[in-house]
Parts: sequence; C-alpha cells; structure tokens
Amino acid sequence: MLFAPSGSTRRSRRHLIALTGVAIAAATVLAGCTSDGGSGGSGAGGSSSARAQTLIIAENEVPASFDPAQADNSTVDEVVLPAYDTLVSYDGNKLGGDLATSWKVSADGLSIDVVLHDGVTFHDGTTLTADDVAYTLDRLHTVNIGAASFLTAYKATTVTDPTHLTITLSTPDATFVPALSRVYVVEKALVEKNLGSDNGQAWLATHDAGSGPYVLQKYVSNQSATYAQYAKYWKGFTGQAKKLEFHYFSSAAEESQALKAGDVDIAMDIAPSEWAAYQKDSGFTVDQATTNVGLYAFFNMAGTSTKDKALRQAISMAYDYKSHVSSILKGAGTEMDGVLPTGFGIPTDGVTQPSYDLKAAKQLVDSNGLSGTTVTMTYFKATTEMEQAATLLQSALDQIGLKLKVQAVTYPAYVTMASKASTRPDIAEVYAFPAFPDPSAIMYQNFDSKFIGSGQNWGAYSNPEVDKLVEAAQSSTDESARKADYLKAEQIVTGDYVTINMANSKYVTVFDKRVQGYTYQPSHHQTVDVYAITLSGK
Amino acid sequence: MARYVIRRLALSIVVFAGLVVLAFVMVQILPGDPARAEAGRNATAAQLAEARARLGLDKPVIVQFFGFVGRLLHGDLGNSVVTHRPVLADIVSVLPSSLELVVAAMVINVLVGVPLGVLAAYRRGRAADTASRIIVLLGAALPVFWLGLLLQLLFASKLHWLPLYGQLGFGVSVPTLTGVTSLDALLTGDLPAFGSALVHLVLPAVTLSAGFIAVVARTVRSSMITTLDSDYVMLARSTGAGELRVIVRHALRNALIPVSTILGMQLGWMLGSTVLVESTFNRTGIGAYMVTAVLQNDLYAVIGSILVIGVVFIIVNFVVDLAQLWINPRLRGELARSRRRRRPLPALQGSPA
Amino acid sequence: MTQTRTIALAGRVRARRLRRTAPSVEIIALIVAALILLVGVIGPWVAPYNPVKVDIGSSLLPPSGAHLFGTDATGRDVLSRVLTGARTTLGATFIVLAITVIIGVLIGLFAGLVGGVVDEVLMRITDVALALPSIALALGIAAALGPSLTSTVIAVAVTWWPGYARLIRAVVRDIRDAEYVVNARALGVGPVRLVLRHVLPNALDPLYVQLTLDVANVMLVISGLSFIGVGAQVPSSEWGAMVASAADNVTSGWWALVFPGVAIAVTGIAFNLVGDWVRVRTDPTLRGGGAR
Repeated sequence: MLFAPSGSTRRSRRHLIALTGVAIAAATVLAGCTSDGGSGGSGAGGSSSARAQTLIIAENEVPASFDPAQADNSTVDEVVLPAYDTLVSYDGNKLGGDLATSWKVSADGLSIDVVLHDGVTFHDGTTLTADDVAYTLDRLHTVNIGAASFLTAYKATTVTDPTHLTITLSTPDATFVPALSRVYVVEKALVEKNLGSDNGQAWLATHDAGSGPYVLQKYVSNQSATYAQYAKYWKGFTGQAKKLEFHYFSSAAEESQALKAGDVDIAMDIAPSEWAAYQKDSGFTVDQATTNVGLYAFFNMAGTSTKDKALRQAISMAYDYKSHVSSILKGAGTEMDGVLPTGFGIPTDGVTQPSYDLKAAKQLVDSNGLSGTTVTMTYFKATTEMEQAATLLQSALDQIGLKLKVQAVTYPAYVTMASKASTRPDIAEVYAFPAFPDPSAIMYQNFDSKFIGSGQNWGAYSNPEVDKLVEAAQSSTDESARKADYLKAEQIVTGDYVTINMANSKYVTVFDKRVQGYTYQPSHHQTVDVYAITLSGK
Repeated sequence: MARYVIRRLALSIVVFAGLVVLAFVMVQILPGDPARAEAGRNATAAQLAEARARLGLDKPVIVQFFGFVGRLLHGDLGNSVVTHRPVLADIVSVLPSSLELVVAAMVINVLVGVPLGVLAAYRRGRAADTASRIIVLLGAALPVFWLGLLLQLLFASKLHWLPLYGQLGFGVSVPTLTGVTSLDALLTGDLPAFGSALVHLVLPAVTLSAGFIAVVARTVRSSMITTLDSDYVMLARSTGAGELRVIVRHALRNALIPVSTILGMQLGWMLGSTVLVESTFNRTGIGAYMVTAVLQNDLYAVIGSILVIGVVFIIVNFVVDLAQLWINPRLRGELARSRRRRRPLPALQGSPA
Repeated sequence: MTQTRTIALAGRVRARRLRRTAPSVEIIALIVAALILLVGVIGPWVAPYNPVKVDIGSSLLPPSGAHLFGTDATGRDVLSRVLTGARTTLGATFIVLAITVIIGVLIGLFAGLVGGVVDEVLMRITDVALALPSIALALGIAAALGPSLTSTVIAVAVTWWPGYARLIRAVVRDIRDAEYVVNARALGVGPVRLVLRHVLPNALDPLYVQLTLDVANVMLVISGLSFIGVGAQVPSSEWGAMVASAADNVTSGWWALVFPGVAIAVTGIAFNLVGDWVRVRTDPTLRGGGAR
C-alpha cells in the first residue's frame, strides 16, 4: 500500500517515526544490558557461597502434585520426601522407626499400637501429635488415591494421647507397617484450613504441610521447585545443604549439559551412552546401586490380540534379554529369572523365564496363524531404557511377522489409558517400583484382580488362584508360609506369560564430587535421600 | 472513525464467539469425560453423578452450551485433572512469562528483520540482497525446535556464552509482581537480576524469532522497493537530501505501515509457537503448560490454553488496528476499502508455524 | 506478498528497472526440490539399511564410510532413516496440502460466487480459524484425536484451509467484477462454465505460489508436532520425531540430531526458492522487477 506524502499526513507519520525511534532506542538499551549482564547472570553465577550451600537435583518429569497422598508415584515421592516425615522408614532393606519410636502389632494382626516421638514440629511451628497421624490416615482413606492403595486394610485410628495411638485394621495385613514408610504425615490444622471440596488436594498440590528437613518455598511449573532448611527440624542438621532445588529438564542431554556446567549437582537420567565418559572424569561420581526394580512389559490380558497366550509367549521369546543388559543398560543390570527381582529372596524353582529364541518364537507365531498381527505398546516418554527396549522388541517382532506400534506417553496419561479396557494398550512398559522391599509390592499390587483398572494391575490379570495365594500371603504373619505362597503365585503368573520380564536394572546416578553421603534407598526408588547428603567445598 | 472501530470491535466479538463455539465442540467431541475430570480419577459413582449434575451434563446440549458460555464469561475454564487447580489460575500465573519471551522475540524480530529488508531493497540484486535473502531463507526453513537444541548445544554447552536453561541465574530471585521476570527485577530495582533475566531470554528469544524475521524482512523489502521507486522519494533525492535521510525518513516510514500489521499478527503466532520453544529452554509459560497438558491428557487445560492464546491474539490484532488508525488517519479509508474487498490474509502472509 | 498482489491488481505498479540475473540459484533449488521429491518416492528402496532395524551393539557410531550419517542410540542407520523419512514427512505434508486445497477451493468458490450472507458467514468462519495460531490449535486437536501421524494430518488440515478459502474467494471477487466476465454473464454464461473458464485459470497461479511456499510451512508444523510427541510415533523415521528421539544423546552423538534437521531445512529452503521463482514467473507485474 502506497502513501504519497502530502501535507495532511505529515504530522501523523512523524508520530510513527518517533515511535519507531523510541522502540529501536529502547531495544538497543535492552540489547546493551543483555551483553553487560552476561558475566553475572549465567547458569552458575550469582553468589558463589550460596551456590555452594545449595543442592540441586536434575529431574526429567514434573510432579503431578505435591500432595503426599500421591506419593506412590516416584515423581511425587521425590518432592514430598524432603518436606515430610513418615512413621517408619527403611534404611536399605531394614525397617526402623522414624516419627514412631516404637510400634507393636497385636497377636490377631488387627491392631497396631504406635508411640510417637516427642517434640516434633511442623513447618509453621505447630507440634505434631497423634491427631495429625490419625488425620493423615483418615484423609488418605477418604480420598482413596495413590498411596491409599497400600492401605486397603485400614479401618480407623484411636488416639490415646498426643504421643500414643492405635491403628485398627479390617483384615490382618502383613504389609501395613512397611507401607507406612510411604505415608507422609500432614498437619491436620493447616490442611483443614485449606480443605476446599476435595480434602485439600488442590491446596496440597502446591503447598507443604509437613515436618521434614526442608520447607517447600516455591514451585515454578515446568521449571523448578525450591526448598530451604527447616531450622527446627527435630533430627537437626549435620552439614546438609542449606537450600535444595529440583530443576526439571526436557531431555537427558540437557541434564547432562547442566551437570557438566555445574548448574546441577545430581542427575538421575544421564543416558547410558555417557556413563563411561563420566566414569573417566575425576569431577564426577557414577553410582550404580542394586535395586528391586524390574522393567516389565505388561500384556493386556483382555486385549483382542494379547488375550492369546501363544502370542504372549511368542513375544516373550522374541525379546533379547542379554542385549538389554549388555547394550541398553551398558552392563548396569541383571537378567530377570521370573517376576521377582532376586533381592526379595524368593527361590526360582518352577518359575518360567523365557529365553531369547527367535526361531521358536516364529514357529509359535506361524503354527498359531498369528502372522501379521499388530499390537500396540506404550512406554514412558523421556525414558531412554524404555524407548530402546521398545525399539529392540519392535525390530525383533518384525522378524517373526508381528507388527508393534509404539507410543510414548507420560505416566499420568498412561494411568488414564490403563484405567479403561477400551483405551488400555496391548503391551505397556512399566517399571515396578516396590514402594517397600516386600514381594507383596509386586505380586499383590500387580497381579491381584482387585486392582484392575484402579491400581497397578496394569495387565488386567485375573486369576482366582493367584488372587487367593497373594491375598493369603497379604494377611499372614508367618514369613515362611508367605514365601511359599509368593513362589506358587509367581509360578502361575510366569506360566501365564502376563509380563515380559525385561531386566532388573541398577540405578545409575551421576553426581558432582562435592556431593557426600549419597545413598540409594530401594524404598524410595528414583528419589534422592537429600537428608543423608552433605556438601563438601570444592 | 467511530464507525470503523465499532465494526472492528464487532468483528472481534464474532471471532471470539466462534472461538467459544470451537472450544465447546472440542469438549463435546474429545475423549475424556468432563464429569470425571471434575470429580477426580477415583471418584465414586455417586460423586460422578453429582459432578455431572453440577456441570449440567445431564441436560440437553443446547442448555449445556449456554452453561459453558456462562462459566467462561465468569472466567471458569474448569479444573485441571492433574493438579486439581483451576485452569485459568494456572494459565494466568504462567502467561506473563510467555509474553515476556514473545516481546523479547519481537524486539529481535524488528531489530534484525527491518534493517535486513531495507538493506535488501536498497541494494536490490546485489551481494547484500543475496546475503539477506539467504538469512531470510534460513529463518523461514529451519525448524524452530531443532534450532533451539543446536543453539543450546553451541552457545551454552560448548562456548558457555549464555545460560543453558531457566529464567534466572542461580541464587537470583525476584518477587512475583507482574510475573514478567525481567520487569519484576526492574520494579524491585534489582539490576543484576534484570541482567540475569535478559541473558536467559537471549537464546529462547532468538530461537522463537528466527522464523518470523523472514516474513518481516520480505515485507519490508517489497514495500521498500515500492516506496524507493516512488515519485516522492525521487523528489526528496532531487532536493539534495542525504541518502540516509531519504531512506529512513521518506521511504522507510511509509514502508513500515504494512509491516506493522504483520508484526501485530506475528505477536499472536509467536505466542502459539512458544509450544516449541519453552519446554526446550525449561521456561515456564503457556507453551510449556500446554505441552504438559497435552502429554498428560489434561482436557480442560488444553482447551483453556487454546482459548487464552486465541483471546490474546484477538486483542493484539484489535489493538494493532486501532494503533494504526491513530498513527495514520489516512488508513481509515484504506481499511474500510480493504474490509470490503478483503482483509489481510494472515495465513498467506506467512505464518512460519 | 499480499500487498504486492493487491498493488498489482490495483494496477498501481510503477515501472521498474530490469534485472538481469540468471536464475541459477532457482535452477539449483528446482533440482534439489525434484531430488527431494524423488527421494520421497524411492527413498525406502535406496536406503542402505533397514531404517527400523535395531543394532544396539553399534549405537551412536559417528559418520563413516559404512554409515554416512552415523547411527542413532539404538544403532539404526541415520542416513537410511532420513531417506525413508522423506516419504513420511513429505507424504504427510502433501496430504495436508491436498485436503487443504480441496476444502479451501470449494469454500472459497462458494463464498465468492454466492456472495451475500453466505459469503459473510463463511468468511467469519475463516476469521475464527485464522484467529488462532495454527500450531497451538493443531496441537490441541492432534492430542485429542490421540497421538499419531494421521491425527496430525487431520489437525493441520483443519487449521490450514482458511488461507486457501480466502485466496480463492479474493480471486473470484476480482474476476466477478472484471468487465469481460460481466459481459460473459450478460451473455448468459452459467456459473459452472464461469468457474471453469475464468475463475480457476486465474486462481491457479497464486495457488501454485502459495502451495510451493506452504510445503515448508506445513512441513514445519507437522514435524514440530511430531517433535512434541503428538505426531508420528516410534519407530517412524519422520524427521521431527527423529530430532526428538536424538535429543537425549546430543552430546554423545550430534549427528543423529543434526541430519534430520538439515533434511527439514534443505527441503524448506528448496521449496521456498522454487515458490519465489514461481511467483516471479507467474506474476507479470513482477517479472524482471525483482520485487518480491
């Protein structure tokens, strides 16, 4: 469009030029500031002593919430762990008291007497009492999400005095006390003040009502969560970081770049292809810890194609378990010999664990007329091991005449998909994260039919015999009887080819040399035991 | 003038209404039960029925539609399935950060695109034209998401010139006043924090602006060529005015008018393109929010993001049109004509995705 | 570019000096574009390796004689994936453009010929559709339909047609008012004949230009959506999805990230150049003028 100059428009055009001039001048000033600020504002800049006092952890998936009710999920567990306390906790595979100084299970297994520590305060200074514990358990029972799935036997709590309470159960439950290691005690008064219409879920999603060593200060979605030491923490401090931050990254490579630049101290998602380089670098430690975590691919037992046992068996036989450990895990793991990782101490007699045999798998496909079948599979986005396992399985199935359609999903998206038969994928790669080191965490949670659609029975496996065995083991107090039941259940489940037991990986964490005392806790997989860590000067 | 403004306003309202209908249709056809979203994943049948009644989902579609509109007008975009927080509150808390990024990208866009276009027009057909054409081509063809990763690798990871991610350097924090990090730093008089915020803006803003510079430079070039060839520029030259003066005062200021329309539209598109940039640089914002919502099947959060981006786009375009009117009254006639004939075609002016 | 055409149509263009540059760049671009299209057709047959065959033992090998573009984290040959990806990415792009042109031309013709209330309503619908940044809307729709390349194609097509409807309608309106068409109508020429004889031939040139330029635009949106994760899924060698899956290993294997991106960029540049060239060639007012 043309605008010939004429007297009438002169003035207004000068306006435009003036405005443009101002804009350009302003922009130049901005640009000037940009280059000036270069030295002071880069990643590791700022006050160097403050950085020295801060522990920064890199994480690849944002937490759905900061509500401890959802702490069955590791991304939530990780962010509530620093801010809350539990009644009991594990050190390695050994259970001990935390807020509870002692507890006693009655002979019939239906009640538990708990004695609380004295002088524990929440972050607002309020004293933690038995009322808060009772409230926490009741709330979990009411909202009935997440960690509530560990506590199905819960009936009620009777408070005797501020430090004494009795928990009653509807049925005896061998795993109830171990499960309490995932029940974070919330401050009753504070949550009640912000109750809303959903038992405080919306409020707790972004606030902290705990008594742990760190106070949640700020959460910037998709970016970071910041904590500061709670000065009056009842266990005191012995050189732990003054501040704690979680930084969220969209790729493992970015985490690695940030770790190298000194922007973060601990990275949990470094790609295996980079481990060797970090091992050679004297500035970093590569920690490989044995876990109770297995990577499984759950077959949808009700899926149109995967309800066929021959198909499941063929797929299980087409998976190259050795390559998984040697190439995908770069040696940081072991092959499975059943559903249960060896750490649970259950023998493997009569347990079926298929080995890689493409020829036999192909024969199985052909003799059952399954050639050309298409199956769908999901894995969690940004999880290198899963993605590579998916591609490994895919190219193997290609060779036996099956087609695998793979889709990357996030955990919350997957939970929604798996909750309904119509949207459940044929195969889903899932890590079984035992929330506590007891076979129940795998055998009961993943294979009892009562958890279909609303828990962790991802494959919708339903077998009355297995239900009976795992439920008996769940309520028994006789350890050897429980082990026998679990072995029997494992024999049936593996014989039914419900899961591809891909591998038992080691947990590899790369951290800066200044991080001291890092310990992997199998009871809080994929989290960092921040209270155990001290920072040394460099 | 008033007549034009009213017509323009009416058009904006029509567009907004269309947007609302679109959002409603999406709620209807998209998988995922809004009642379940409202009541929570593990709601009992009774809770679900209650939520259904509360949302009016048991009523005829047309009644539902008016209920939906009513809630929208009250600023209720529904609750997030994942965080249980109101979607609008979540978006309001992240939007300023996106606007900051968009404005920074716009500054780069203008600072690079306009001189590039002027130079190309002035040295038409010569080396400088070719060079600027190459830059323009690269900008138009490089995938934004890929460019971001490469810039990060080069300037942050290898050269350490710029920060890798985030919005503020370590240990720097500013209180949330406006939500725009750099502005909050300025308002609190914290200059180091302001510098840090700006440095953190550079890579994402360059990444975001890359595709848009091409369109600006092209438009400036073509309209500059027209004005440079015009009689009045020749006249200005013949009066012995300095060459720079001729270019800037006489040619450029006329050439910038069509450019300003495009810049206005680009603001809206840039806001959309944040979905490809913010996550890469770990910035908070509506783009990162929407991507997370998409990946978590958070129905109301996705629709809320689309609505908010659309509304911002409508407002920006309305404001740009009014500003042009104010700047150049002669436009009134032009606009009225162009409205009858044909409004500018945003898609054809090159939305670089 | 709209401005340019408006000026041209209004007949307000001033004479310009002739530019005498051989279109060598354009010829190269044309050849490159043709080669890319050829790869799109024959890519899977010329790929040296199976693009989805995992060979974990040879993961992240740098470019070499055996693997010109190196291998990715699962040991797949990047060159083979880029070659087969051309079909996926360009195929999806052309399907989107085909759907877009069909819907856009029909609606544009209808609005332009019928005029009145119908025109007003249709154009307000395009206003609404244009009032959204297409990537955001497409992201929402694709996510809703369930992540897949098909969803992405549908989503982008839904957001892309209004531009074409506007383009065709504008041509129709201009032609309708032209003297010879008014005369033709006075002579009783029917609307179908009018469209076939006068409107479509006139609409083809701007359509060609827009289509060539949109190859790059649509491709960027499709690969962007795949990058986010709502488009093509593993193990597809769609270029955007390749970039996304290579991002994790960028520090130990830049090649897996760089080459698919370069493929997108080269394709975009080639089609942009061809588009510019087509525009200059088809618009008599621009020929030799050098104005773009």
